[in-house]
Amino acid sequence: MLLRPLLLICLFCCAQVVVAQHLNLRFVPTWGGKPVDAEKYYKLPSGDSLQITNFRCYISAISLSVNGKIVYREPNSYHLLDMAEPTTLQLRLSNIPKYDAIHFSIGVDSIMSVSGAHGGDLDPEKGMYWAWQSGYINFKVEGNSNLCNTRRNEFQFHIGGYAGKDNALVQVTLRNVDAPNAMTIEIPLDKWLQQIDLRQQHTIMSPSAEAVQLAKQLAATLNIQQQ
Amino acid sequence: MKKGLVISCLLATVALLSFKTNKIQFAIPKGWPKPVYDFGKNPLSLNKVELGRMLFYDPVLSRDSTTSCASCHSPFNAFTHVDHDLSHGINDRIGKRNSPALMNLAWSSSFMWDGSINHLDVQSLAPITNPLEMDESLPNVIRKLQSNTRYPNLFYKAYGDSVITGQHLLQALSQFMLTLVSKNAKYDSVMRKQAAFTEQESKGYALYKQHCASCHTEPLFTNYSFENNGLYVDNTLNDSGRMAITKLPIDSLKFKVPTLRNLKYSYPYMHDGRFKHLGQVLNHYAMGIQRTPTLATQLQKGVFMNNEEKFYLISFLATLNDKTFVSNTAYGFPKKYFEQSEGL
Ligand code: HEC
Ligand code: HEC
Repeated sequence: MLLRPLLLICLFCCAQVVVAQHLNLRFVPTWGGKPVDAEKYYKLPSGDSLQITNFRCYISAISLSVNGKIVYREPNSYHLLDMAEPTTLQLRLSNIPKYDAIHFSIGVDSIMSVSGAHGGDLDPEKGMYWAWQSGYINFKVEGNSNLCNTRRNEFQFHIGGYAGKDNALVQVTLRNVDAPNAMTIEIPLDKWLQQIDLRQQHTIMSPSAEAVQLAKQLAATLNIQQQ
Repeated sequence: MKKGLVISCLLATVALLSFKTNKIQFAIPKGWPKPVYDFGKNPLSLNKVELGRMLFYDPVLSRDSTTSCASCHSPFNAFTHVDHDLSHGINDRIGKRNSPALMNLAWSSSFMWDGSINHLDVQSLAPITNPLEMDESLPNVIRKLQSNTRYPNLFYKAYGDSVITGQHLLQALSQFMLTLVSKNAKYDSVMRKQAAFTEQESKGYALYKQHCASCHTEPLFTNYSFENNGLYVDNTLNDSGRMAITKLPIDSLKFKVPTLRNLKYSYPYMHDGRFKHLGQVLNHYAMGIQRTPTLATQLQKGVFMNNEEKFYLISFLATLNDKTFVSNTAYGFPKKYFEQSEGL
Protein backbone atom coordinates (compact mmCIF):
# COMPACT_ATOMS: atom_id res chain seq x y z
CA MET A 1 0.00 0.00 0.00
CA LEU A 2 2.59 2.45 1.17
CA LEU A 3 5.14 1.19 -1.29
CA ARG A 4 3.44 2.54 -4.37
CA PRO A 5 3.48 6.22 -3.54
CA LEU A 6 7.01 5.80 -2.25
CA LEU A 7 8.04 4.25 -5.52
CA LEU A 8 6.35 7.05 -7.39
CA ILE A 9 8.18 9.63 -5.33
CA CYS A 10 11.42 7.81 -6.02
CA LEU A 11 10.76 7.76 -9.72
CA PHE A 12 9.86 11.40 -9.66
CA CYS A 13 13.09 12.22 -7.88
CA CYS A 14 15.09 10.21 -10.39
CA ALA A 15 13.42 12.04 -13.24
CA GLN A 16 14.40 15.30 -11.58
CA VAL A 17 17.99 14.16 -11.36
CA VAL A 18 17.99 13.24 -15.00
CA VAL A 19 16.57 16.61 -16.02
CA ALA A 20 18.97 18.56 -13.80
CA GLN A 21 22.28 18.89 -15.57
CA HIS A 22 25.43 20.92 -15.40
CA LEU A 23 27.21 23.38 -17.63
CA ASN A 24 30.93 23.98 -17.89
CA LEU A 25 31.79 27.40 -19.20
CA ARG A 26 35.31 27.90 -20.48
CA PHE A 27 36.52 31.41 -21.25
CA VAL A 28 39.54 31.74 -23.52
CA PRO A 29 41.22 35.07 -24.31
CA THR A 30 42.63 34.49 -27.79
CA TRP A 31 44.86 35.93 -30.50
CA GLY A 32 44.43 34.47 -33.97
CA GLY A 33 42.13 31.83 -32.54
CA LYS A 34 44.74 30.53 -30.05
CA PRO A 35 44.95 31.23 -26.30
CA VAL A 36 46.90 34.44 -25.62
CA ASP A 37 50.48 33.86 -24.53
CA ALA A 38 51.55 36.69 -22.20
CA GLU A 39 55.20 36.16 -23.16
CA LYS A 40 54.65 36.43 -26.87
CA TYR A 41 54.90 39.42 -29.20
CA TYR A 42 52.14 39.38 -31.79
CA LYS A 43 52.53 40.89 -35.23
CA LEU A 44 49.90 43.31 -36.41
CA PRO A 45 48.92 43.54 -40.10
CA SER A 46 50.73 46.90 -40.19
CA GLY A 47 53.98 45.22 -39.23
CA ASP A 48 53.90 46.70 -35.75
CA SER A 49 53.96 44.38 -32.76
CA LEU A 50 52.15 43.99 -29.51
CA GLN A 51 52.26 42.03 -26.25
CA ILE A 52 49.29 41.41 -23.93
CA THR A 53 50.57 41.05 -20.39
CA ASN A 54 47.33 41.17 -18.44
CA PHE A 55 43.70 40.37 -19.06
CA ARG A 56 41.25 40.32 -16.17
CA CYS A 57 37.51 40.48 -16.45
CA TYR A 58 34.39 40.16 -14.33
CA ILE A 59 31.64 37.84 -15.54
CA SER A 60 28.45 38.25 -13.55
CA ALA A 61 24.71 37.63 -13.43
CA ILE A 62 24.78 34.33 -15.29
CA SER A 63 21.25 33.15 -16.04
CA LEU A 64 19.46 30.66 -18.26
CA SER A 65 16.11 30.98 -19.96
CA VAL A 66 13.53 29.04 -21.93
CA ASN A 67 11.38 30.91 -24.47
CA GLY A 68 12.58 34.17 -23.01
CA LYS A 69 11.58 33.21 -19.45
CA ILE A 70 14.41 33.03 -16.91
CA VAL A 71 14.53 29.52 -15.43
CA TYR A 72 17.80 29.76 -13.53
CA ARG A 73 19.90 32.48 -11.94
CA GLU A 74 23.29 31.59 -10.56
CA PRO A 75 23.39 32.65 -6.90
CA ASN A 76 26.09 35.17 -5.96
CA SER A 77 27.13 35.27 -9.59
CA TYR A 78 30.38 37.27 -9.64
CA HIS A 79 33.48 35.74 -11.19
CA LEU A 80 36.85 37.31 -11.80
CA LEU A 81 38.59 35.79 -14.82
CA ASP A 82 42.35 36.22 -14.83
CA MET A 83 44.37 35.16 -17.86
CA ALA A 84 47.33 34.44 -15.56
CA GLU A 85 45.33 31.95 -13.45
CA PRO A 86 43.82 29.33 -15.76
CA THR A 87 41.52 27.87 -13.09
CA THR A 88 39.64 31.17 -12.93
CA LEU A 89 38.72 30.79 -16.61
CA GLN A 90 36.55 27.72 -15.95
CA LEU A 91 33.11 28.12 -14.40
CA ARG A 92 30.67 25.37 -13.60
CA LEU A 93 26.94 25.61 -13.09
CA SER A 94 25.49 22.54 -11.39
CA ASN A 95 21.91 21.34 -11.01
CA ILE A 96 20.53 23.50 -13.74
CA PRO A 97 17.32 22.92 -15.69
CA LYS A 98 16.99 22.63 -19.46
CA TYR A 99 17.44 25.94 -21.27
CA ASP A 100 17.55 27.45 -24.73
CA ALA A 101 19.45 30.66 -24.01
CA ILE A 102 22.23 31.79 -21.71
CA HIS A 103 22.82 35.32 -20.45
CA PHE A 104 25.66 36.97 -18.56
CA SER A 105 27.18 40.39 -18.01
CA ILE A 106 30.72 41.62 -18.48
CA GLY A 107 31.44 43.68 -15.37
CA VAL A 108 29.89 44.33 -11.98
CA ASP A 109 26.44 45.87 -11.49
CA SER A 110 25.87 49.27 -9.91
CA ILE A 111 24.41 47.81 -6.71
CA MET A 112 27.70 46.16 -5.86
CA SER A 113 29.60 49.26 -6.95
CA VAL A 114 27.86 51.47 -4.42
CA SER A 115 27.50 49.17 -1.42
CA GLY A 116 30.95 49.07 0.11
CA ALA A 117 33.60 46.38 0.42
CA HIS A 118 32.62 42.87 -0.63
CA GLY A 119 34.45 39.57 -0.28
CA GLY A 120 35.54 36.74 -2.54
CA ASP A 121 36.16 37.69 -6.17
CA LEU A 122 34.74 41.14 -5.43
CA ASP A 123 37.28 41.87 -2.68
CA PRO A 124 39.01 45.20 -3.44
CA GLU A 125 42.33 43.48 -2.76
CA LYS A 126 41.90 41.86 -6.20
CA GLY A 127 42.88 45.21 -7.67
CA MET A 128 39.68 45.57 -9.66
CA TYR A 129 38.24 48.45 -7.62
CA TRP A 130 39.11 52.06 -8.31
CA ALA A 131 40.63 53.70 -5.26
CA TRP A 132 40.24 57.40 -6.04
CA GLN A 133 36.71 57.26 -7.42
CA SER A 134 34.49 54.45 -6.22
CA GLY A 135 33.44 51.66 -8.54
CA TYR A 136 34.57 48.36 -9.98
CA ILE A 137 36.81 48.01 -13.00
CA ASN A 138 34.81 45.67 -15.26
CA PHE A 139 37.82 44.51 -17.22
CA LYS A 140 41.49 45.30 -17.69
CA VAL A 141 43.59 44.79 -20.80
CA GLU A 142 47.25 45.74 -20.42
CA GLY A 143 50.35 45.27 -22.50
CA ASN A 144 52.73 47.15 -24.71
CA SER A 145 53.25 48.01 -28.33
CA ASN A 146 55.70 50.10 -30.31
CA LEU A 147 52.62 52.05 -31.43
CA CYS A 148 52.16 53.56 -27.96
CA ASN A 149 54.15 56.65 -27.26
CA THR A 150 54.01 56.07 -23.50
CA ARG A 151 56.34 55.04 -20.70
CA ARG A 152 57.70 51.59 -21.65
CA ASN A 153 55.30 51.66 -24.64
CA GLU A 154 52.51 50.51 -22.35
CA PHE A 155 48.82 50.49 -23.05
CA GLN A 156 46.39 50.23 -20.16
CA PHE A 157 42.67 49.84 -20.60
CA HIS A 158 40.81 49.84 -17.29
CA ILE A 159 37.19 49.75 -18.37
CA GLY A 160 34.43 50.41 -15.86
CA GLY A 161 31.83 52.86 -14.66
CA TYR A 162 28.38 52.24 -13.22
CA ALA A 163 26.61 55.59 -13.18
CA GLY A 164 24.34 57.18 -15.76
CA LYS A 165 25.60 57.31 -19.31
CA ASP A 166 29.06 56.12 -18.24
CA ASN A 167 27.61 52.74 -17.28
CA ALA A 168 29.98 50.27 -18.93
CA LEU A 169 28.25 47.06 -17.85
CA VAL A 170 27.38 45.03 -20.97
CA GLN A 171 25.00 42.08 -21.31
CA VAL A 172 25.71 39.10 -23.51
CA THR A 173 23.03 36.64 -24.64
CA LEU A 174 23.39 33.48 -26.66
CA ARG A 175 20.05 32.19 -27.98
CA ASN A 176 18.98 28.95 -29.64
CA VAL A 177 21.34 26.73 -27.73
CA ASP A 178 20.59 23.10 -27.20
CA ALA A 179 21.29 22.94 -23.46
CA PRO A 180 24.85 21.69 -23.90
CA ASN A 181 26.97 20.55 -20.97
CA ALA A 182 29.91 22.62 -22.08
CA MET A 183 30.49 25.90 -23.85
CA THR A 184 33.62 27.70 -24.87
CA ILE A 185 33.50 31.45 -24.92
CA GLU A 186 36.32 32.84 -26.95
CA ILE A 187 37.39 36.41 -26.21
CA PRO A 188 39.28 37.45 -29.36
CA LEU A 189 41.51 40.19 -28.00
CA ASP A 190 43.10 40.56 -31.45
CA LYS A 191 39.77 41.67 -32.91
CA TRP A 192 39.11 43.98 -29.96
CA LEU A 193 42.55 45.63 -29.98
CA GLN A 194 42.59 46.06 -33.75
CA GLN A 195 39.53 48.31 -33.49
CA ILE A 196 41.60 50.69 -31.37
CA ASP A 197 44.13 53.11 -32.80
CA LEU A 198 46.85 52.52 -30.24
CA ARG A 199 48.73 55.58 -31.44
CA GLN A 200 45.85 57.79 -30.27
CA GLN A 201 44.19 55.74 -27.59
CA HIS A 202 46.34 53.75 -25.17
CA THR A 203 45.30 54.71 -21.66
CA ILE A 204 41.83 54.60 -20.13
CA MET A 205 41.70 54.66 -16.35
CA SER A 206 38.27 56.09 -15.56
CA PRO A 207 34.64 55.95 -16.62
CA SER A 208 33.93 57.71 -19.91
CA ALA A 209 32.00 57.45 -23.18
CA GLU A 210 35.08 55.80 -24.77
CA ALA A 211 35.11 53.18 -22.01
CA VAL A 212 31.44 52.38 -22.67
CA GLN A 213 32.20 52.05 -26.38
CA LEU A 214 35.13 49.70 -25.76
CA ALA A 215 33.01 47.55 -23.43
CA LYS A 216 30.36 47.18 -26.13
CA GLN A 217 33.05 46.27 -28.64
CA LEU A 218 34.40 43.54 -26.37
CA ALA A 219 30.94 42.03 -25.99
CA ALA A 220 30.45 42.14 -29.76
CA THR A 221 33.64 40.20 -30.50
CA LEU A 222 32.79 37.23 -28.26
CA ASN A 223 32.58 33.95 -30.08
CA ILE A 224 30.57 31.27 -28.31
CA GLN A 225 30.68 27.58 -29.25
CA GLN A 226 28.58 24.80 -27.76
CA GLN A 227 30.04 21.36 -27.28
CA MET B 1 46.10 19.23 36.29
CA LYS B 2 42.37 18.86 36.73
CA LYS B 3 42.05 22.32 38.15
CA GLY B 4 43.89 23.68 35.14
CA LEU B 5 41.46 21.90 32.84
CA VAL B 6 38.44 23.29 34.67
CA ILE B 7 39.88 26.77 34.56
CA SER B 8 40.67 26.57 30.88
CA CYS B 9 37.17 25.24 30.21
CA LEU B 10 35.75 28.15 32.15
CA LEU B 11 37.94 30.57 30.26
CA ALA B 12 36.83 29.08 26.98
CA THR B 13 33.16 29.54 27.91
CA VAL B 14 33.80 33.09 28.99
CA ALA B 15 35.62 33.73 25.71
CA LEU B 16 32.72 32.21 23.78
CA LEU B 17 30.20 34.26 25.73
CA SER B 18 32.15 37.43 25.25
CA PHE B 19 32.36 36.67 21.52
CA LYS B 20 28.58 36.52 21.57
CA THR B 21 28.03 39.65 23.65
CA ASN B 22 30.65 41.46 21.65
CA LYS B 23 27.97 43.15 19.54
CA ILE B 24 27.49 46.89 19.84
CA GLN B 25 24.27 48.65 19.08
CA PHE B 26 24.85 51.91 17.20
CA ALA B 27 23.01 54.56 19.21
CA ILE B 28 21.18 57.22 17.22
CA PRO B 29 21.09 60.44 19.25
CA LYS B 30 17.55 61.61 19.98
CA GLY B 31 16.09 63.76 17.23
CA TRP B 32 18.77 62.83 14.67
CA PRO B 33 17.87 61.29 11.33
CA LYS B 34 18.42 57.63 10.50
CA PRO B 35 22.04 56.89 9.52
CA VAL B 36 22.80 56.28 5.85
CA TYR B 37 25.33 53.54 6.66
CA ASP B 38 23.82 50.05 6.47
CA PHE B 39 24.88 48.48 9.77
CA GLY B 40 23.09 45.27 8.78
CA LYS B 41 25.88 44.55 6.30
CA ASN B 42 28.70 45.31 8.75
CA PRO B 43 27.31 44.88 12.30
CA LEU B 44 29.45 46.60 14.91
CA SER B 45 31.32 44.54 17.48
CA LEU B 46 33.81 45.55 20.14
CA ASN B 47 36.61 43.47 18.65
CA LYS B 48 36.08 44.84 15.16
CA VAL B 49 36.02 48.43 16.38
CA GLU B 50 39.22 47.80 18.36
CA LEU B 51 40.86 46.25 15.31
CA GLY B 52 39.79 49.24 13.23
CA ARG B 53 41.17 51.63 15.83
CA MET B 54 44.50 49.86 15.80
CA LEU B 55 44.68 49.95 11.99
CA PHE B 56 43.74 53.63 11.99
CA TYR B 57 46.75 54.47 14.16
CA ASP B 58 49.20 52.05 12.57
CA PRO B 59 51.71 53.45 10.04
CA VAL B 60 52.16 49.92 8.69
CA LEU B 61 49.39 50.91 6.25
CA SER B 62 51.85 53.16 4.39
CA ARG B 63 54.64 52.04 2.05
CA ASP B 64 57.52 52.92 4.37
CA SER B 65 55.60 52.60 7.66
CA THR B 66 55.81 56.31 8.44
CA THR B 67 52.27 57.54 7.87
CA SER B 68 49.07 56.39 9.55
CA CYS B 69 45.51 57.56 8.99
CA ALA B 70 45.92 59.51 12.23
CA SER B 71 48.90 61.41 10.76
CA CYS B 72 46.35 63.39 8.78
CA HIS B 73 43.34 62.77 11.01
CA SER B 74 44.42 63.50 14.58
CA PRO B 75 41.94 62.91 17.43
CA PHE B 76 42.87 66.19 19.15
CA ASN B 77 41.84 68.07 16.03
CA ALA B 78 38.49 66.36 15.55
CA PHE B 79 40.36 63.98 13.25
CA THR B 80 41.80 66.45 10.81
CA HIS B 81 45.38 67.52 10.14
CA VAL B 82 47.05 69.78 12.72
CA ASP B 83 47.72 73.18 11.25
CA HIS B 84 48.23 72.08 7.63
CA ASP B 85 46.23 73.71 4.87
CA LEU B 86 46.93 70.95 2.35
CA SER B 87 47.43 67.39 3.48
CA HIS B 88 50.89 66.20 4.23
CA GLY B 89 51.71 62.59 3.34
CA ILE B 90 54.56 60.16 2.98
CA ASN B 91 58.04 61.73 2.41
CA ASP B 92 56.49 65.16 3.07
CA ARG B 93 54.53 65.00 -0.17
CA ILE B 94 51.81 67.65 -0.23
CA GLY B 95 48.33 66.73 -1.44
CA LYS B 96 45.89 69.02 -3.18
CA ARG B 97 43.26 69.29 -0.46
CA ASN B 98 42.76 69.93 3.24
CA SER B 99 41.97 66.79 5.23
CA PRO B 100 38.38 66.99 6.49
CA ALA B 101 37.47 66.49 10.15
CA LEU B 102 36.04 63.00 10.66
CA MET B 103 32.83 62.69 12.70
CA ASN B 104 29.28 61.46 12.33
CA LEU B 105 30.31 59.57 9.19
CA ALA B 106 27.38 57.14 9.52
CA TRP B 107 25.13 59.94 8.22
CA SER B 108 27.28 60.86 5.26
CA SER B 109 26.05 59.82 1.82
CA SER B 110 29.37 60.44 0.05
CA PHE B 111 32.97 61.09 0.99
CA MET B 112 35.76 63.49 0.01
CA TRP B 113 35.28 67.15 -0.83
CA ASP B 114 34.06 66.20 -4.31
CA GLY B 115 32.08 63.09 -3.31
CA SER B 116 34.34 60.83 -5.36
CA ILE B 117 33.89 58.00 -2.85
CA ASN B 118 30.43 56.48 -2.57
CA HIS B 119 30.74 54.31 0.56
CA LEU B 120 32.70 54.51 3.81
CA ASP B 121 34.00 50.93 3.36
CA VAL B 122 35.94 51.83 0.23
CA GLN B 123 37.11 55.23 1.49
CA SER B 124 40.34 53.85 2.96
CA LEU B 125 41.48 52.53 -0.43
CA ALA B 126 42.02 56.10 -1.55
CA PRO B 127 44.61 57.23 1.03
CA ILE B 128 46.33 53.82 1.13
CA THR B 129 47.02 53.86 -2.61
CA ASN B 130 47.43 57.61 -3.21
CA PRO B 131 51.12 58.23 -3.99
CA LEU B 132 50.90 61.56 -2.16
CA GLU B 133 49.43 59.98 0.97
CA MET B 134 50.42 56.42 1.97
CA ASP B 135 51.63 55.17 -1.44
CA GLU B 136 50.88 51.50 -0.73
CA SER B 137 48.77 48.77 -2.33
CA LEU B 138 46.06 46.78 -0.61
CA PRO B 139 47.59 43.33 -1.37
CA ASN B 140 50.90 44.53 0.07
CA VAL B 141 49.28 45.90 3.24
CA ILE B 142 47.57 42.54 3.67
CA ARG B 143 50.88 40.70 3.24
CA LYS B 144 52.50 42.91 5.87
CA LEU B 145 49.64 42.45 8.32
CA GLN B 146 49.47 38.71 7.74
CA SER B 147 53.13 38.30 8.66
CA ASN B 148 52.84 40.68 11.62
CA THR B 149 52.96 39.18 15.12
CA ARG B 150 49.67 40.71 16.29
CA TYR B 151 47.25 41.16 13.43
CA PRO B 152 46.30 37.58 12.49
CA ASN B 153 45.19 37.09 16.09
CA LEU B 154 43.25 40.36 16.15
CA PHE B 155 41.51 39.50 12.88
CA TYR B 156 40.69 36.11 14.33
CA LYS B 157 39.15 37.73 17.40
CA ALA B 158 37.12 40.07 15.23
CA TYR B 159 36.05 37.79 12.39
CA GLY B 160 36.74 34.24 13.56
CA ASP B 161 39.27 33.98 10.72
CA SER B 162 42.96 34.80 10.90
CA VAL B 163 43.28 34.98 7.12
CA ILE B 164 43.23 38.70 6.42
CA THR B 165 41.08 39.88 3.51
CA GLY B 166 40.65 43.30 1.97
CA GLN B 167 36.99 43.26 2.89
CA HIS B 168 37.66 42.63 6.58
CA LEU B 169 40.44 45.20 6.73
CA LEU B 170 38.29 47.89 5.11
CA GLN B 171 35.18 47.08 7.12
CA ALA B 172 37.13 47.15 10.40
CA LEU B 173 38.43 50.64 9.56
CA SER B 174 34.82 51.67 8.87
CA GLN B 175 33.71 50.27 12.22
CA PHE B 176 36.15 52.45 14.12
CA MET B 177 35.28 55.54 12.08
CA LEU B 178 31.55 54.93 12.57
CA THR B 179 32.00 55.16 16.34
CA LEU B 180 33.33 58.73 15.99
CA VAL B 181 30.05 60.39 16.89
CA SER B 182 30.10 63.95 18.16
CA LYS B 183 26.86 64.72 19.99
CA ASN B 184 27.81 66.33 23.29
CA ALA B 185 28.40 69.96 22.43
CA LYS B 186 26.65 72.68 24.42
CA TYR B 187 24.21 72.97 21.51
CA ASP B 188 23.19 69.33 22.08
CA SER B 189 22.65 69.95 25.79
CA VAL B 190 20.46 72.92 24.92
CA MET B 191 18.44 70.78 22.50
CA ARG B 192 18.08 68.15 25.22
CA LYS B 193 16.92 70.97 27.54
CA GLN B 194 19.81 70.35 29.93
CA ALA B 195 21.36 73.77 29.33
CA ALA B 196 20.43 77.15 27.92
CA PHE B 197 22.04 79.47 25.39
CA THR B 198 23.35 82.81 26.62
CA GLU B 199 21.75 85.87 25.07
CA GLN B 200 24.63 86.23 22.59
CA GLU B 201 24.43 82.59 21.62
CA SER B 202 20.68 82.85 21.08
CA LYS B 203 21.14 85.84 18.79
CA GLY B 204 23.85 83.92 16.96
CA TYR B 205 21.56 80.90 16.63
CA ALA B 206 18.93 83.10 14.99
CA LEU B 207 21.51 84.52 12.56
CA TYR B 208 22.73 81.00 11.80
CA LYS B 209 19.17 79.92 11.00
CA GLN B 210 18.73 82.90 8.75
CA HIS B 211 21.99 82.70 6.78
CA CYS B 212 23.63 79.33 7.16
CA ALA B 213 21.09 76.62 7.99
CA SER B 214 20.02 75.95 4.41
CA CYS B 215 23.36 74.22 3.78
CA HIS B 216 24.82 73.63 7.26
CA THR B 217 21.57 72.01 8.42
CA GLU B 218 20.84 70.86 11.98
CA PRO B 219 21.50 68.57 13.74
CA LEU B 220 24.54 67.43 11.72
CA PHE B 221 25.24 70.96 10.49
CA THR B 222 25.54 69.83 6.92
CA ASN B 223 22.98 68.64 4.37
CA TYR B 224 25.75 66.68 2.56
CA SER B 225 24.97 68.43 -0.71
CA PHE B 226 27.50 69.97 -3.10
CA GLU B 227 27.47 73.74 -3.31
CA ASN B 228 29.56 76.63 -4.56
CA ASN B 229 29.87 78.99 -1.60
CA GLY B 230 31.64 81.65 -3.60
CA LEU B 231 35.32 81.06 -2.84
CA TYR B 232 37.69 82.60 -5.39
CA VAL B 233 39.59 79.98 -7.39
CA ASP B 234 43.13 79.41 -6.17
CA ASN B 235 44.99 79.26 -9.46
CA THR B 236 47.87 77.27 -7.98
CA LEU B 237 45.38 74.40 -7.51
CA ASN B 238 42.60 75.02 -10.05
CA ASP B 239 40.35 72.62 -8.21
CA SER B 240 37.01 72.34 -10.01
CA GLY B 241 35.49 70.23 -7.19
CA ARG B 242 32.48 68.07 -7.94
CA MET B 243 32.73 68.63 -11.70
CA ALA B 244 35.81 66.40 -11.86
CA ILE B 245 33.53 63.51 -10.89
CA THR B 246 30.26 64.22 -12.69
CA LYS B 247 31.82 66.06 -15.65
CA LEU B 248 28.79 68.37 -15.56
CA PRO B 249 29.46 72.11 -15.91
CA ILE B 250 26.69 72.82 -13.36
CA ASP B 251 28.92 71.13 -10.75
CA SER B 252 31.90 73.39 -11.38
CA LEU B 253 33.43 74.75 -8.13
CA LYS B 254 30.99 72.84 -5.95
CA PHE B 255 32.30 71.11 -2.84
CA LYS B 256 30.62 69.01 -0.21
CA VAL B 257 29.13 71.14 2.58
CA PRO B 258 31.25 70.42 5.68
CA THR B 259 29.82 70.25 9.20
CA LEU B 260 30.12 73.24 11.52
CA ARG B 261 30.67 71.01 14.55
CA ASN B 262 34.03 71.19 16.31
CA LEU B 263 35.37 74.13 14.30
CA LYS B 264 37.49 75.12 17.31
CA TYR B 265 39.63 72.04 16.73
CA SER B 266 39.48 71.57 12.96
CA TYR B 267 41.09 74.75 11.57
CA PRO B 268 42.19 75.68 8.96
CA TYR B 269 38.95 75.82 6.97
CA MET B 270 37.64 75.06 3.46
CA HIS B 271 38.75 72.39 0.96
CA ASP B 272 42.17 73.99 0.61
CA GLY B 273 42.52 75.19 4.19
CA ARG B 274 42.71 78.82 3.07
CA PHE B 275 41.20 80.36 6.23
CA LYS B 276 42.85 80.02 9.64
CA HIS B 277 40.21 81.84 11.69
CA LEU B 278 36.44 81.88 11.81
CA GLY B 279 36.59 85.65 11.46
CA GLN B 280 38.05 85.17 7.98
CA VAL B 281 35.28 82.70 7.13
CA LEU B 282 32.60 85.19 8.13
CA ASN B 283 34.33 87.98 6.23
CA HIS B 284 34.25 85.71 3.20
CA TYR B 285 30.48 85.22 3.48
CA ALA B 286 29.94 88.92 4.26
CA MET B 287 32.05 90.43 1.52
CA GLY B 288 34.26 87.95 -0.31
CA ILE B 289 31.73 86.00 -2.37
CA GLN B 290 32.72 85.54 -6.02
CA ARG B 291 29.85 85.62 -8.47
CA THR B 292 30.54 82.65 -10.72
CA PRO B 293 27.76 80.94 -12.71
CA THR B 294 27.36 78.07 -10.25
CA LEU B 295 27.21 80.21 -7.07
CA ALA B 296 24.48 78.98 -4.69
CA THR B 297 21.28 81.02 -5.00
CA GLN B 298 21.17 81.66 -1.23
CA LEU B 299 24.49 83.48 -1.48
CA GLN B 300 23.76 85.56 -4.60
CA LYS B 301 23.04 88.66 -2.56
CA GLY B 302 25.85 88.10 -0.07
CA VAL B 303 25.32 87.68 3.66
CA PHE B 304 25.20 91.09 5.31
CA MET B 305 26.50 91.04 8.86
CA ASN B 306 27.86 93.87 10.99
CA ASN B 307 30.65 93.24 13.50
CA GLU B 308 28.21 92.72 16.34
CA GLU B 309 26.33 90.09 14.37
CA LYS B 310 29.56 88.33 13.44
CA PHE B 311 30.42 88.22 17.11
CA TYR B 312 27.03 86.64 17.95
CA LEU B 313 27.39 84.10 15.18
CA ILE B 314 30.85 83.10 16.38
CA SER B 315 29.47 82.74 19.93
CA PHE B 316 26.85 80.37 18.60
CA LEU B 317 29.36 78.37 16.52
CA ALA B 318 31.38 77.89 19.72
CA THR B 319 28.42 76.00 21.21
CA LEU B 320 29.07 73.32 18.57
CA ASN B 321 32.49 72.44 19.99
CA ASP B 322 32.35 69.08 21.71
CA LYS B 323 35.14 68.69 24.22
CA THR B 324 34.11 65.14 25.09
CA PHE B 325 34.63 64.22 21.43
CA VAL B 326 38.24 65.33 21.14
CA SER B 327 39.19 63.97 24.57
CA ASN B 328 37.39 60.62 24.33
CA THR B 329 40.01 57.98 25.22
CA ALA B 330 38.06 55.32 23.32
CA TYR B 331 38.94 57.19 20.13
CA GLY B 332 42.59 57.79 21.01
CA PHE B 333 45.85 56.04 20.25
CA PRO B 334 45.47 52.38 21.35
CA LYS B 335 48.55 52.40 23.54
CA LYS B 336 48.04 49.00 25.05
CA TYR B 337 48.55 47.27 21.70
CA PHE B 338 51.52 49.25 20.57
CA GLU B 339 53.37 49.00 23.90
CA GLN B 340 53.29 45.24 24.28
CA SER B 341 54.19 45.19 20.60
CA GLU B 342 56.70 42.51 19.62
CA GLY B 343 55.71 40.06 22.36
CA LEU B 344 52.23 39.00 21.24
C1 HEC C 1 48.33 62.33 3.76
C2 HEC C 1 47.19 62.66 4.55
C3 HEC C 1 46.09 61.64 4.71
C4 HEC C 1 46.19 60.34 5.14
C5 HEC C 1 47.45 59.56 5.49
C6 HEC C 1 44.83 59.85 5.22
N1 HEC C 1 43.94 60.82 4.86
FE1 HEC C 1 41.94 60.70 4.92
N2 HEC C 1 41.79 62.43 3.94
C7 HEC C 1 42.86 63.25 3.59
C8 HEC C 1 42.40 64.28 2.69
C9 HEC C 1 43.27 65.38 2.09
C10 HEC C 1 41.04 64.05 2.47
C11 HEC C 1 40.12 64.83 1.55
C12 HEC C 1 40.52 64.47 0.14
C13 HEC C 1 39.63 64.99 -0.93
O1 HEC C 1 38.55 65.48 -0.65
O2 HEC C 1 40.03 64.89 -2.09
C14 HEC C 1 40.69 62.89 3.29
C15 HEC C 1 39.39 62.38 3.41
C16 HEC C 1 39.05 61.34 4.24
C17 HEC C 1 37.70 60.92 4.53
C18 HEC C 1 36.42 61.54 3.98
C19 HEC C 1 35.75 62.38 4.99
C20 HEC C 1 34.52 63.07 4.47
O3 HEC C 1 33.71 63.49 5.31
O4 HEC C 1 34.35 63.22 3.26
C21 HEC C 1 37.79 59.83 5.36
C22 HEC C 1 36.63 59.03 5.95
C23 HEC C 1 39.19 59.57 5.57
N3 HEC C 1 39.93 60.51 4.89
C24 HEC C 1 39.69 58.51 6.29
C25 HEC C 1 41.05 58.13 6.23
C26 HEC C 1 41.55 56.82 6.65
C27 HEC C 1 40.72 55.70 7.22
C28 HEC C 1 42.89 56.84 6.43
C29 HEC C 1 43.88 55.70 6.64
C30 HEC C 1 43.62 54.50 5.90
C31 HEC C 1 43.21 58.15 5.91
N4 HEC C 1 42.07 58.89 5.78
C32 HEC C 1 44.51 58.57 5.63
C33 HEC C 1 44.15 63.11 4.04
C34 HEC C 1 44.67 61.91 4.51
C1 HEC D 1 24.91 77.61 -0.15
C2 HEC D 1 25.33 76.76 0.91
C3 HEC D 1 26.07 77.39 2.07
C4 HEC D 1 25.65 78.40 2.91
C5 HEC D 1 24.33 79.15 2.88
C6 HEC D 1 26.70 78.57 3.89
N1 HEC D 1 27.72 77.71 3.64
FE1 HEC D 1 29.40 77.49 4.74
N2 HEC D 1 30.10 76.15 3.39
C7 HEC D 1 29.46 75.73 2.27
C8 HEC D 1 30.34 74.93 1.47
C9 HEC D 1 30.01 74.26 0.14
C10 HEC D 1 31.57 74.89 2.15
C11 HEC D 1 32.87 74.22 1.68
C12 HEC D 1 33.47 75.09 0.62
C13 HEC D 1 34.83 74.70 0.15
O1 HEC D 1 35.67 74.28 0.95
O2 HEC D 1 35.07 74.85 -1.05
C14 HEC D 1 31.37 75.67 3.36
C15 HEC D 1 32.36 75.85 4.34
C16 HEC D 1 32.15 76.50 5.52
C17 HEC D 1 33.09 76.50 6.62
C18 HEC D 1 34.41 75.74 6.68
C19 HEC D 1 34.27 74.45 7.46
C20 HEC D 1 35.45 73.54 7.38
O3 HEC D 1 35.50 72.56 8.14
O4 HEC D 1 36.33 73.75 6.54
C21 HEC D 1 32.55 77.26 7.60
C22 HEC D 1 33.15 77.54 8.96
C23 HEC D 1 31.28 77.74 7.11
N3 HEC D 1 31.06 77.25 5.84
C24 HEC D 1 30.42 78.56 7.81
C25 HEC D 1 29.26 79.08 7.29
C26 HEC D 1 28.48 80.08 7.95
C27 HEC D 1 28.79 80.67 9.30
C28 HEC D 1 27.42 80.35 7.14
C29 HEC D 1 26.35 81.38 7.35
C30 HEC D 1 26.82 82.71 7.46
C31 HEC D 1 27.55 79.52 5.96
N4 HEC D 1 28.68 78.77 6.09
C32 HEC D 1 26.65 79.48 4.92
C33 HEC D 1 28.15 76.00 1.93
C34 HEC D 1 27.38 76.98 2.53
